[in-house]
Amino acid sequence: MKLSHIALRNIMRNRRRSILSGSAIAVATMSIVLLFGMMEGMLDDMARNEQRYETGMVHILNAEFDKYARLNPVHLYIKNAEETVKAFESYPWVTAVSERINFAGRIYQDNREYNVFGKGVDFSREKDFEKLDEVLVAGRLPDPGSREAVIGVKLAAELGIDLTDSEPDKITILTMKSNRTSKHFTVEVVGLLAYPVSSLNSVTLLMPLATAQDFLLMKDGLSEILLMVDEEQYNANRAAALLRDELGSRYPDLKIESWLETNLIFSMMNMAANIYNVFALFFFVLGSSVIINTTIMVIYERMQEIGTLGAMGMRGKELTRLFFLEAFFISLIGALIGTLIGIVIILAIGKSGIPLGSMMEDLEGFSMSNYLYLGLSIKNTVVVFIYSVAIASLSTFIPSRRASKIEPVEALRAI
Amino acid sequence: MKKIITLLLFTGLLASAGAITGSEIIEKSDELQSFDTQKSSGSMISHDRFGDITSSFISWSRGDREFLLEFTNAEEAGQKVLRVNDTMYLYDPDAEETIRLSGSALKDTLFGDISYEDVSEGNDTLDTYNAELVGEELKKGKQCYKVELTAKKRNAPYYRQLLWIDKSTFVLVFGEYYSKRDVLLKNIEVLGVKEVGDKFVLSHLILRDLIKGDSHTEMKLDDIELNPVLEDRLFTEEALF
Repeated sequence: MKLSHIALRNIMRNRRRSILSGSAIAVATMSIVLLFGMMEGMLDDMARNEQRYETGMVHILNAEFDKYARLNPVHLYIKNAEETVKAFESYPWVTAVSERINFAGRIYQDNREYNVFGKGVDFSREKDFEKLDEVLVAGRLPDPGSREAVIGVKLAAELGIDLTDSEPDKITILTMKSNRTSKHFTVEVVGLLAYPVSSLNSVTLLMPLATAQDFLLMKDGLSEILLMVDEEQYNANRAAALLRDELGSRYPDLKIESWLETNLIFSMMNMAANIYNVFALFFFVLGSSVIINTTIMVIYERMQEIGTLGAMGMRGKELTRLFFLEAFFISLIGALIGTLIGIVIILAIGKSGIPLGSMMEDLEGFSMSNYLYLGLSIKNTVVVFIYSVAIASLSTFIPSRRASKIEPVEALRAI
Repeated sequence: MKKIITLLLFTGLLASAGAITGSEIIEKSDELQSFDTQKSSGSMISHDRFGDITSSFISWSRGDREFLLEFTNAEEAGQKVLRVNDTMYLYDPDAEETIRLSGSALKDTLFGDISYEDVSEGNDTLDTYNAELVGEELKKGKQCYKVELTAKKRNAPYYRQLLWIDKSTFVLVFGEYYSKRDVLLKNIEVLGVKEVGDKFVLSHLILRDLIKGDSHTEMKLDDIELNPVLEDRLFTEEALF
């Protein structure tokens, strides 16, 4: 009889033990599939938010800005913006452009201060770039060149603005002009934005680019240019490198970076994802310990059988293979079930996401949505499956080898 | 001449009464720089690692508690800063309402190294600080009284000040401003003093924000008019519009 048949027969014969071991592997595998799914979803979500709201896929700004960022260097901006934007968007693989003027400001109301992160944007471009239709929850977008603005829903709530009354809702913001002197101006709030990233809702203000340029003395100037590129042709790093090579000498005052070069937090998260492989190993070892344990118990339970098999001429190596095959089949079935359950859970709730409540509200710097999305990566799932079967199977080698070294006489004596 | 006589009389009185105290020095210094009303025009020049910025202004003051400054250069034209008692109002032609600053917001930058409270500080020093004469020193080539001021009110702009005051004119020569943790925040150097009647006006000074580092801001007064007739309405929030 073939060893595999004997192994399968043994699995069926000791059904309860097999189910217990298989369940442990299934739970461990499902956990890892979900863990990787969570990481995948989180990174996808962060990447999308970071690209839409913060840096684009390629980020272009004044080369000196980052060096003096802590001093709020509003005067370090991109000059001759119109011509510069034209040069960057002339590449056919640049799919979207965002022109922005950034300013930090403060609103004083009823003896309280509210910090604002303002952006002057060209709404005809920004609408698609930030997918503003998805986040505009009340009112409308400002008209070009007007003294109108849209603000985050949380900021609006704090300022008592809900756009329901007939009186115009106006706010006055104190900020710095590009000549580094103070400036304040009044805008009418005409729309409310509910971003998926909670922290944006309490500080964001968007107003027409031309109005911001006028108020902040930045005629034909921009704080930054953000580009989206066709990823089928170039990834962000490659696109940024290409633009640096071809336009770097023409615009020596500009810094051209991919969003991965700009965003250290995301790069760190990406690196941290590798650490999850270690967690995965830990989970598998934990799951496999059930197999090791049951295999050891089985060896003691099946001393008579081992002795009989030995007496019938089965060699140590064959005994090791028999126990290994038993563990392999259990792992295979357990890992398959665990992987399938993990995939079903990801498909069922991954897109709608798990609400994180107020957990993300004060987490500045992380462009994470206040919903935890799960992402399915075929590559990761296949790797987890193989990894799961391999670790669980290999972990039985220790007790299996022990079984193989038992002398038939010794085994029969134990009966 | 009148000023010299006043000073001589003052110092004579002090000599006859015994050693001068820190409070008396500050009182005299404030008195020589206090006016019923004042109108002046001048400029502020900020120098830092990024270059120079110049703004011009006209200012009006009445007593120690009312002050109005209006920027006149093109970039800031029409922007105004009004102080009435302890409240500061900011006006901008592009805003439909004033911004009312008080408390810690007064420490925000108005221009270069100059904060809102720096530009509007009155000559009522002894209402806010206790003064103590801590010595006499030669400072910037002038024989000076060294006076230490310690805040007696929680809302004082600085917790401690060290002032070097010219012994012969009772005009500030140099000042250092410290935080409660005794960190040197700013210093001020007086480069020019204009004598108008029997009063002194600091007409050219340099302020350094030592927390910001490599920067300083000059303030120059070109035209000074003492005791002009000013309308009551000038120092009201409504008049800003």
